[in-house]
Amino acid sequence: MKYLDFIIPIILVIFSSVAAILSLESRSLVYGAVSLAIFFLGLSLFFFYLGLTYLAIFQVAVYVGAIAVLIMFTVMVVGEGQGRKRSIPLLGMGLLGGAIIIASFLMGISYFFSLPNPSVQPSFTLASLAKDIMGNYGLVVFILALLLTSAAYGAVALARREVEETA
Amino acid sequence: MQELDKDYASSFVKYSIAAVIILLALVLYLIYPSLLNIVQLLFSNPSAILGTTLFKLLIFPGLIYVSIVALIAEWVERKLVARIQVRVGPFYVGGWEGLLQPIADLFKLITKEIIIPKHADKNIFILSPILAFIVGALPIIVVPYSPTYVIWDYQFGLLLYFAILAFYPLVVLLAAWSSNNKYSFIGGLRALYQQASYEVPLFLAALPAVMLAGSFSLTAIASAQARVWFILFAPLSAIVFFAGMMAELERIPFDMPEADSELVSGWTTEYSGIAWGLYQFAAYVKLLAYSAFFVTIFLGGWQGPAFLPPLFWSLLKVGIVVLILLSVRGFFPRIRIDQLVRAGWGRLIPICILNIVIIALLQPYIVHILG
Amino acid sequence: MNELSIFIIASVIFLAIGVYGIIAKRNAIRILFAIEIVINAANLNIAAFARYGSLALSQAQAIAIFVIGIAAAEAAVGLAIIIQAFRLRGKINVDEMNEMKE
Repeated sequence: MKYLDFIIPIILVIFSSVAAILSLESRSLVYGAVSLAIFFLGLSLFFFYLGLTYLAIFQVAVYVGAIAVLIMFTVMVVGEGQGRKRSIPLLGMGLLGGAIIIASFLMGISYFFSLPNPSVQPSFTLASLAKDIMGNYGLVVFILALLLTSAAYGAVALARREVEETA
Repeated sequence: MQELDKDYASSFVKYSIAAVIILLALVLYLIYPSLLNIVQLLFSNPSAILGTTLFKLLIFPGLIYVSIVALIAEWVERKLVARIQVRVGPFYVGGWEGLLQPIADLFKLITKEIIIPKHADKNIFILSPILAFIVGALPIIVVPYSPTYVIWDYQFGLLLYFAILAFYPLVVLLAAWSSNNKYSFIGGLRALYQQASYEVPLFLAALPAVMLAGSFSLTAIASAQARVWFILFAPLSAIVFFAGMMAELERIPFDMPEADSELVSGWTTEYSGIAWGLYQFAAYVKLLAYSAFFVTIFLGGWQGPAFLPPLFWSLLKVGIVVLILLSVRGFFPRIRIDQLVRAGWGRLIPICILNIVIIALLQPYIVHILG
Repeated sequence: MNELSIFIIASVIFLAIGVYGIIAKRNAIRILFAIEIVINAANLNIAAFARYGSLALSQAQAIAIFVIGIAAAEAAVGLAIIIQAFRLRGKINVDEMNEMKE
């Protein structure tokens, strides 16, 4: 039954990477945005499997509920790009970069063959999460709030239409 | 082009029938043990069927109950709004006061042709109504009608509810864009602004209930209101939640995306037949889900005097909230889109925060009252 | 090869897909998709170490929540830039947008 521990992550990996590749390679930008949302859902299933239930729901609510909607809105307003002319050197460089990353990490992982298998963590309570966020990381929450506010202001200022002065 | 459409239609029908058969086989395989269990219980202890999950999922707070209530709500809305506007409403179909009108509408919609616009994106066009219904109906699995009648008593039920609701702007945007029609796309963008602007006030307005009950689970929140309902401690939040509910459901006065006199039918313009019917059905299912949620958070769920069963009280409260929501349609004019968005971000959020601060300050004393 | 390596390999695969997207795509919106994929790969790594490593569950979720918040801010600003660039130049091909002046 130990193989069952491997099957579910492998299925999730295949599903999520297919969704990620589709989001980059699909012909239409809207299908790409939809499959990006499916990728986020796949990640959320990963978090559910790992026992981080709060993070999984947070991921769905923020990523799929807000960021994917924002991306899809932009894609629909901007419209589709021009026809595809593949530039071979860039494609080759990109694939080579990805392959190098995978290969180097696989080599590094083989040294970690003997990673200890720790005992299963007990299920967490929301109170401990809240104490962590507000207690240890309270300053981070404050800075994150400032960051998000300034990002909202910045986005509105960047995307504003300049009003022409007719004098 | 005509031949391509016919081939596409026939292959689509074949693949969809195959997909439905495969899906049915999978569902049967999954629920086979529960079915065996129910058949056994039917012969030994019939009243225990009411406690099995399959019954709860399909019949009582699940699909069939929701469908029946959606049909009844449609009839009640038309009659109620008609009487408010000094009209009669439907009275031809059915013996008394047009009672079978929703069923007649259903038959009409099923037999109508589904017209797919020529350059519309066929896959997303057909997928959107189904997705809208799924996303609208999914939140009912966490809402409790009584301590035993909850399909899934999840530890983070409230969070799951809001995460599912955050999906809906995505569905609206896909439906609007796939119609390949500038005006329905504008309607879809307006619906997106409206629903995205009122998500944050909804989240914030549900927060006092969590603070007072100390848990995200909806059964725990409803159980904590045994002595006093939360609406007495958080009236401002209840009002904001009610307004946000009306905005998310696109009901009058937040009717801008539909705008009968301006945009024909908003983002559902190009949908005809049962596809449009599915959107209306999803709207009423959402209405029921939101009302049950409001009752659970603010009005005490199933709490009531003990001489009647808890189920009766929760159904009564849900019915009253649904009636209020339906009747508001007859009283108010439509709000403009910029007034709507300004109210959502600029006016409702400070009211919610004020209420959260009040509750945070009074928390130690309130815990004594709640027991 | 235990369970932790499976998740680390998954995270690396997503990172590789994201890096490929950033390098080899010409449409600015696709590059943004790839950036989001990379950020999610990092989140997956943190989550894996919470379950199979020595990171506390609450601590890992706090870190991942902050990462998601930063990703949201960066996506918003990036999309605003793309909208404005599209308005001014009519196309979002990063190969051709290599001069400050039109």
